[in-house]
Order: sequence, then C-alpha cells, then structure tokens
Amino acid sequence: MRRVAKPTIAARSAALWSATWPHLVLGVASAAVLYPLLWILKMALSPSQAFDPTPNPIPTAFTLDNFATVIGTDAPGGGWLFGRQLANSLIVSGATACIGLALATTAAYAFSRFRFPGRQSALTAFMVTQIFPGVVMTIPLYILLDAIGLLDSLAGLVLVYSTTSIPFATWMLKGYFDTIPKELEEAALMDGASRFGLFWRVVLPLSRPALAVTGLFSFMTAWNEFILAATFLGHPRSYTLPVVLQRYVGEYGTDWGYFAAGAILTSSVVMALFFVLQKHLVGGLTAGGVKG
Amino acid sequence: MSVVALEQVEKNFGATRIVRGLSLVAEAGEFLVMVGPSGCGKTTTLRMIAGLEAPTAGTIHIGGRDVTALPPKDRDVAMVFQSYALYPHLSVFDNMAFGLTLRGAPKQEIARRVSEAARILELDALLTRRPKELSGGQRQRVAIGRAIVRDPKVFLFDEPLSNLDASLRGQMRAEIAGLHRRLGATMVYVTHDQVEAMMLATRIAVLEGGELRQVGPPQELYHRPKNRFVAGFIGSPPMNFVTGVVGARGGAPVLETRGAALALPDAARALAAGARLTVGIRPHDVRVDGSAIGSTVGFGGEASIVEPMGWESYVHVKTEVGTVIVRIEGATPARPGDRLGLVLPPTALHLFDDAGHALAHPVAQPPPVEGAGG
Repeated sequence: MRRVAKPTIAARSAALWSATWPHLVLGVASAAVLYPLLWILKMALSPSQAFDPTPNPIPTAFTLDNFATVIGTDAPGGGWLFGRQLANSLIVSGATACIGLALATTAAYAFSRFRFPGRQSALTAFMVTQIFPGVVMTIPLYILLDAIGLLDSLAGLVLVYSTTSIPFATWMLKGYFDTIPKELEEAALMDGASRFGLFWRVVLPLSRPALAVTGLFSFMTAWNEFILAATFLGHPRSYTLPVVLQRYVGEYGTDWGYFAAGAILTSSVVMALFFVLQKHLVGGLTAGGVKG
Repeated sequence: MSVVALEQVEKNFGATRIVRGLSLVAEAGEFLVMVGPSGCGKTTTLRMIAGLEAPTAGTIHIGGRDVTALPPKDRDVAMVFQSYALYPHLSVFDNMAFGLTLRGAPKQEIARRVSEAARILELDALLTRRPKELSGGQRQRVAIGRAIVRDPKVFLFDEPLSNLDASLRGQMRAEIAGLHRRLGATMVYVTHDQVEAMMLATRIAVLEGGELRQVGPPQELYHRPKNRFVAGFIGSPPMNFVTGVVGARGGAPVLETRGAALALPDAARALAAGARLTVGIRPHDVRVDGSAIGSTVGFGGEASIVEPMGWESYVHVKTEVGTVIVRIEGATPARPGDRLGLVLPPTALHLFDDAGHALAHPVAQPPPVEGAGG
C-alpha cells in the first residue's frame, strides 16, 4: 500500500504545482501592470493635490472633486474649455484614423497585388521612415506648417499625424492583404466586378480585423501624442488632451489630483473604443472561403 | 450556348513557354475536357479563356466575338474554382447572387434565379448559411450555383472535384454531367483525372508540355490514340508498352526485344526490318493462358503485384518482354510470386513509331462512339 501511495502523493503535488505556477506568474504580472493604475486612481480620488509617496495603491479617501474640476474647466472668455479640448482630441484622432486608413488601404492593396516599377524601393522607404523618432521632425514640420498657415490649427495636426501613420498602417495592411486568397478576387472578377468593386465588396469586408487594429492604432497614436501637439498648438482652445494634462504640471508645483483625474478621463476614451472594436479584432474571417 | 475557339494561343511566363500554338474549339453545347499531367498548360489555357491571364500570342473567340483583350466581366463566362473561392463574409444566397447584384438585376429576378439554382443543386435549406458552415461538397455546389444563376454563355471548371473525397467526387461528377444535360451549355473542364475526363466529356483534349496531343471523343482517344503519350495517358491502368526492333519469324513480322520475339499484326508487314517500334496493349486485351508459352504470342512470367478491385483484378507480371499488366475478371487466386502465362494477341496491338506516332491500331475494335459520356 505504502509503495503505491507515495508516488500518488508525489504525482498529485506535481500536478498541483504545474497547475498553480502559471497562475502565480500571471498574478505577479497582473499586479505589476495594475499597480501604477491603482495608484493613479488613488490620487485621482484623493481630496489633496499632493504627491502620495506611500506604497499602498488602495484608495484611502473617496471624492470626485478632481474629476469635476477637470471636466468643469471653463475658458477665460466663457465656454466649456474641457469639452472643446475633448472635441479637439476626438476630431484630430478620428480624422487621423480615417484619413490614414483611407490612404493606407489603397496603398497597401496596390503593394500587395500589383507589381510595378519602384514597388520594392517604396516599401523600403516606408520602412525607413519608421526608424527615425517623431521628435526629429519637429522643427522641419513646424517650419512647413508655418509656411502653409496651418500652425496652431487642428487641420495641421491631422495632416502631420496622418502622414506619419500611413507608412506603418500600409505595412500592416499589406501583410493582411497578402493572406487573402487571390482566388476570391478572381471569382469576383469572373462575377463581373471591377478592380475597385472587388476591393470594396470583397477585400475590405474580409479585412475588418486588420482595419480595426490599424485604425485603433492610428487613433491611439494621435490621441496620446504630446510633443508635436504641444509644439504646434499655441492656444488653450486648440489644445488636445495630452497638452491639457501637461498644464497641470507647473513650474513650482504639480496638481497631482487633477493630473491623475485627467489621465483617467483621457485614457477612458481609448478604453471605450477598444471595447467597442474588440469583436472585430479577431482573425479567421476568411475561414471557409477556399479549401485548406 | 456559344462556341469557344482558341487560335494559335501562346502563353509565356518569362522565358518559360507554358502554352505553345494551341488551336482548339469547344463547339456550342459541348462538354470539352482538357486533361494532361501537371504543368501541361491546361489550367493556364482555361484562365486565358476566362480572361484571368492574357495570351502572349493568338486569339480567343467566344460566341464569334474576339474576346482576347476583354476583361473577364465582359466575356460572359462563369468559372468554378478548384478551391471553391466562395466569399466567406457572405451567405450562400449572397454568394450566388453576387454576380447578378453587380449587374444591377432586379431583386425579384435575383431571388427567382437563386432559388431556381438552389433547387437544382439541393441547396434550398442552406441559403442563409455562411461558407464555413458547409461541407466540402456543399461548398462546391454553391460554387457551381454561383455560376448557374448568371446563365453565362460558357461554364469553365478548374479541377472542381479534386478537393473532394472519392465518394463525393463520384456523386458530384454525376451532378455535373446531369447539369450539362439539363442546361445544354458549353462547358470547358480541366482535370488531371483521366477517368473523370472519360466519364464527363463530349470530347477530350489531351495536352502535354503546352501542346495539344489529340482532341476527340473519349472512345476515339481510348481506342485510336494518335500517339504514345495519349495511349499511355488515357486508360486506367495504363496501356502496356514494349519497345524493340522489327524483325521476322517464318515470314511473319515480329518485334524483337530482350532476346524474345513478339508477333506483330499484318499491318507491320509494311515496316522496314530493323526499324525501332513500340507496341502497346491494353490490360484487358491481355489473356491469362499458359498454353502458348514459348510461341511469339505467349510469354510466361512471375506476378509481382496483385491489385484486387473486387469486380476485377490487375496483376503485374514480369515477362521476357517486360512487365505486363493484365486485367482479370473478378477475383484471382494469383499471388505475388506465382508464375502465369500470358497471351498478347497481335490483333490487339497498337503500333507506334520511334517518334511515338501511331502507325496502326487493333483491327477488331468497335467504331468510336460519338458523344459518349457528358
């Protein structure tokens, strides 16, 4: 009996351990990710504007005053300033995602399906632009925007964000288009579709996951961008939210409560968008179309 | 119903010549099957008829109109792909309606034609499903339905059954044959399966290396192949071939090979002695008979492979003139290693010259039957 029982216990503990350790690792990783978020939440809910140096991330006080103050900020000349700035961010990010996607999908489709002179060098050039950090382009872009009269305007910011997001979006979408079987397009051609018709009716509907990911990425990049926005926008009425957040960081002190509340408000829009698009962020849409 | 005519069609991919000077006509209402080994250019030819590939040279006419430079949408042809190529994001109904929708057909007309095609193909209950919810056979039926609803001048099939399992393939083959009878449309069908070709075709075109080797009714290709390639490609198991030189024994022509002599038909009397010659004989024309061993028609040998099919058996026998496959009615007691005597009747021999061209065919064959199959 003893000889049989011993290995059973050993086997059970081994099984228990193998089931437990992934959870332990995941638990530690989750805690590491959630800790700073909880800490920001704690500061946002705190009545004080002071920096909280204690390691405890659990809120000890509960007030929504910081949120109310940030949201309720009015412009010196009247009007709801925060609303205006939120709208600025939505307009800039939404327009960047839409313009970037519209141009990147057509470019990516051409790169994926057609062979033309300069194709490879153009793809390489697109890749090379990604090597340089955006901040390197700040001064040239400032001069360009100034020259065309788009400084301190949302249109100028949209132009800059769209052009910088297109290379990455094109590469990403090209990779996805490459996986769509050519037979589907040939079947559409046989059915009487034009090149644009099959792109519109077959390729784009099948690319929903890639469009969602790429669009979300462009939106988030524009939403979170700070350096270019802070450089190009000169008036509080044209600020986007990251620039607004920076205003709470003063020369002689920082309003940590407002800053934390603003950070949560800013990121909640992206989180909401992520939840809405989540169902599209799945692969396998082409399943069943062709054999194999 | 429209005639499809290819004239001196060439297709090169870079330096590779895929199709060479192909002239071929599919008559109105005909079921033309193009067969050949992989890389023979049959699919490329079909894609050129469809408009998915542009010929390097030559012209293509459909219904008397030169379509060589026209895009697929202006040719009024429908194609069924090997991989089905159904639109995954659309229902079965929308897949079948896609072509009509693009052409701006009225909704009632679309609904009528889709339900008519669905009824023919027994897809009525599946119209709301997505392709991923269908079996392989159902998907292929939807692909065929998509072609039917458009009522095109010409149907093109690119190996439509090769992704299906054997039993489903047989069923779908019968359905396609029935469809051709019902619609009476011109159909051009590509396959590498010569059995499929024999069963479906009004006429078969055999391609090799981008060139047309022979075109004709299935029975003609089977009984009167123009060359050794067609003789070997059509028929399963394939024709037996023995190569040697023309000689004579007792005043009668024989084929001398590996020290043995094989009696030739009277047609061989005209051949010069010493000329290289290949003879072919179908497995079902070889008889198992040990009584003639030692003569110029009888050869003994050892069975190397026995393939029992149930209703018949094929035995591979290593003889003095080479390995010969013989068809035996029903089951056979023969086992690998057994010795068998075979008779190769001279009247059943096909003769091919050194270049592979047919010189003579068996005299006692039935005349070719026009319009067999399809």
